[in-house]
Amino acid sequence: MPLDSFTPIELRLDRATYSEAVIYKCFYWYGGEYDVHIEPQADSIIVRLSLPEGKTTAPNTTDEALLSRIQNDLVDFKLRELIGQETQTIRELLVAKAFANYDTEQPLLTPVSDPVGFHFPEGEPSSYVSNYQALPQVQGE
Amino acid sequence: MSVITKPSRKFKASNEYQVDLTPYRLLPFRFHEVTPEKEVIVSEVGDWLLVPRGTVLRLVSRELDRVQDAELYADLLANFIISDAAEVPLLDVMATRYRTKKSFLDAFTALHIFVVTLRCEHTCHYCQVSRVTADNQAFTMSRAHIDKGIALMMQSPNPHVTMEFQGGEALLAFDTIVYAVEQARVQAQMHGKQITFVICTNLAVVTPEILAYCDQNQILISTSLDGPEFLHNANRHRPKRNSYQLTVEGIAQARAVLGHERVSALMTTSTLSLEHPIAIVDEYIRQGFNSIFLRPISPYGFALRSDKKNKYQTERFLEFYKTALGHILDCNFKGQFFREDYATIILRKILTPFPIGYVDLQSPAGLINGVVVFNYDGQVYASDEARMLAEMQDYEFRLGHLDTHSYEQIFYGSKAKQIAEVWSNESLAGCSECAFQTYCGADPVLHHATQGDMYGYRPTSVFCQKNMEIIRYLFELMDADPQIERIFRSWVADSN
Repeated sequence: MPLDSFTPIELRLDRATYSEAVIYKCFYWYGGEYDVHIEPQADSIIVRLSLPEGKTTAPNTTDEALLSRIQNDLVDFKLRELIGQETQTIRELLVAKAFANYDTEQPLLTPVSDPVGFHFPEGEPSSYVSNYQALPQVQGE
Repeated sequence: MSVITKPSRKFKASNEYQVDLTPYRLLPFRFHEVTPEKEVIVSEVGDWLLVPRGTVLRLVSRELDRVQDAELYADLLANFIISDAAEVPLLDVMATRYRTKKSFLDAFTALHIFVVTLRCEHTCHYCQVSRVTADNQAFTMSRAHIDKGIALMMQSPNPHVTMEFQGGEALLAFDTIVYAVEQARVQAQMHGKQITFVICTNLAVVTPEILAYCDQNQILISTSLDGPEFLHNANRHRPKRNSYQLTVEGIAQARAVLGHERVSALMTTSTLSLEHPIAIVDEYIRQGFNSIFLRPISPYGFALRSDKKNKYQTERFLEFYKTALGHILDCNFKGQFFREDYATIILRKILTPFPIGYVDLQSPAGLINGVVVFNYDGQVYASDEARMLAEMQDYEFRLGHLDTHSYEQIFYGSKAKQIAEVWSNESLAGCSECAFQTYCGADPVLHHATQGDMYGYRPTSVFCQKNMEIIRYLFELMDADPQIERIFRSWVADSN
C-alpha cells in the first residue's frame, strides 16, 4: 500500500534482543525522512515513526517495504554491535600499535622467516635451533 | 667447544604448516549492502571482499566451515577479516597497513593557496567568490602578505610544499606571482624544501611572456574547461561570450610551451552541465585530455541550508555522474584509455594500501592537515571552501591573519582544535560503523555550510549521500564485470 496516507508506525522492540545502542544507531538513519521518537520502557523500547510536520506524503515506499527495511536494518546493526564487541580489543591494539612512536625492526622469529639470510648471514653464528628463540642475542652481537 | 648449527632452509613437509583446528575469531571489519544479492565486507585496514548477502550473519554466527566454505574461508583469512589462531599473528602487519593508510598525516600541510587577487574579467554565475572588476587594485595581495605567507609555508614540517596561485583571475596579478615565485625559491633553498608552483587560471589573459616565465620556473597550469562551447560560455560569462575560444586557444599555447602534461583542466558542474554528461566527456577527449574530474555540484552559493534542494541536486548529480562514467567505460572498452579522476581517487583507496592527497576524502580531513589558504587581504582560512564561505560573510573557518598570528596560533590554535573535534569520520555518528569509512572522509566545512553544524547529520548530508552512492556503485560495477575492475586498476596504476 503506498504511503500517501501514512499513519505513524509504532514498534515495540524487546530489550533482550536489541540493545538501546542498536536501536538508536539503526533509527538514526530514518531521521532524514521521518520524525523518530524513541521511548525506553522496562523490558522494551518503543519506536514511533511519523512524518515531519508539514509533510503529507511519505518517501516512495510501501508499509511492507518499510517494515522489511526496518527488519533488515535492525539485524545489520545488531551484527555490527556483535562484531564491535568481539573485536574492540584488537581494534584498540591495532590503532595503538599503528601510531606508537617506536621503531623496532623485529624480524619474524621462525626458521623460515629469513630465506635470503639478511639477519643470519653466511658464517655468522646463529644460536637459534628451534623456533622462536635467540634472535635478540644475534641482534645484540 | 661450542657447535654452530645452521637451520635448514629446505622446504618442509606440508604437515609442518598445519594449524590446529581452533574456531576462527573475528578481526575488526565493517559491512554494507551493495546490491540486494551482494554485501561488501571491509577490514579495518581497507581490504575488502564482495560476498553473497547473509554471509556476515553466517560469519558472526560461526556457521562458516573451513572445509565446505574453503575458498571463502581462505579469502576471509587473507583479507584480515578473520583469524584462525588464538592470538593475532599478523597484528604488526595490520598495524603497518593501518599506519600506511594514514601516512598522509606524516608530513602535515603541503598545499598553500595564495589568493593573489579577487579581480576577474569573467562573471561566472556560479562563482562563489565575489568578483571585482579587473582594474580594482584594492583586491590584490600585498607584497608584505606574500612574504608572511611564504614564511609560514617554510615553517611547515612538510619537505615538499606546493604554492598555488588562485584568484579571481590569478594572471591579472602576474607581477605579484613573479614576486612570490622569486621570494619562495630563495626561501625554499634556504630551508631545504622542494617547492611546486601552480597557477589556476582561465587562460583568457595569458601571453607568450607569461608562458615563457612559467616554462623557466616549471610552473604548472590548472585551467577551467566546463565542456563544449555552448555550455562553457553559458557557465562562464565574458563580455564577448568568447571564454571557450580563449580557453582552448590558451590550452594549446600552454601545451606548446610547457608540454602536454604540465597543463590540466578542471570542470565545474552547473545545473546546466547536469543535462550534458556525454558532451562534456567528449569535449575533454577532443581537447586531448586523458582524464576528467567530474566534480560534484557545489552547494556553496546556490542552496546552502535547504536540505530538500541539496538532496535533489545531489540525486541529479549522481545520475549525471553515472551516465558520464558509463560513457567513459565504453571508451575504455573500445581501447581508448580515459580516466575519471574522482572515481580514481576512491579506487586508489579501495585497490591499493596507499592514501591519497585529495583534501575532501581524508580522515582526518585535509583542511589544515593538507591545505591552508592565504587570502588576498591577509586572512588565513582552513580550505578553499572556507574562503568561499568567508566571501559570503561566514568566517567560521578563519584561522587567523598573516599580520597578527604566528604559525602555532594558526595551525594549532583554538579554531584548529575546534575543527579537529569533527574532522575524523572514525568518531562521527553514522560514519563510525560505516563500511566505506576507510574510503571516505570528513568535511566539516561543507556540513557547516549546508547544515549549520560542522559535525554534520548524515541522514540528510549531501556529502554522505554522494559518496556512499558513488562508492557503492563502484563496487557494484566491479562485481558486475571483471573487465571493469581491470579498467579501474589501470586508472589507479596510471595515476600513481
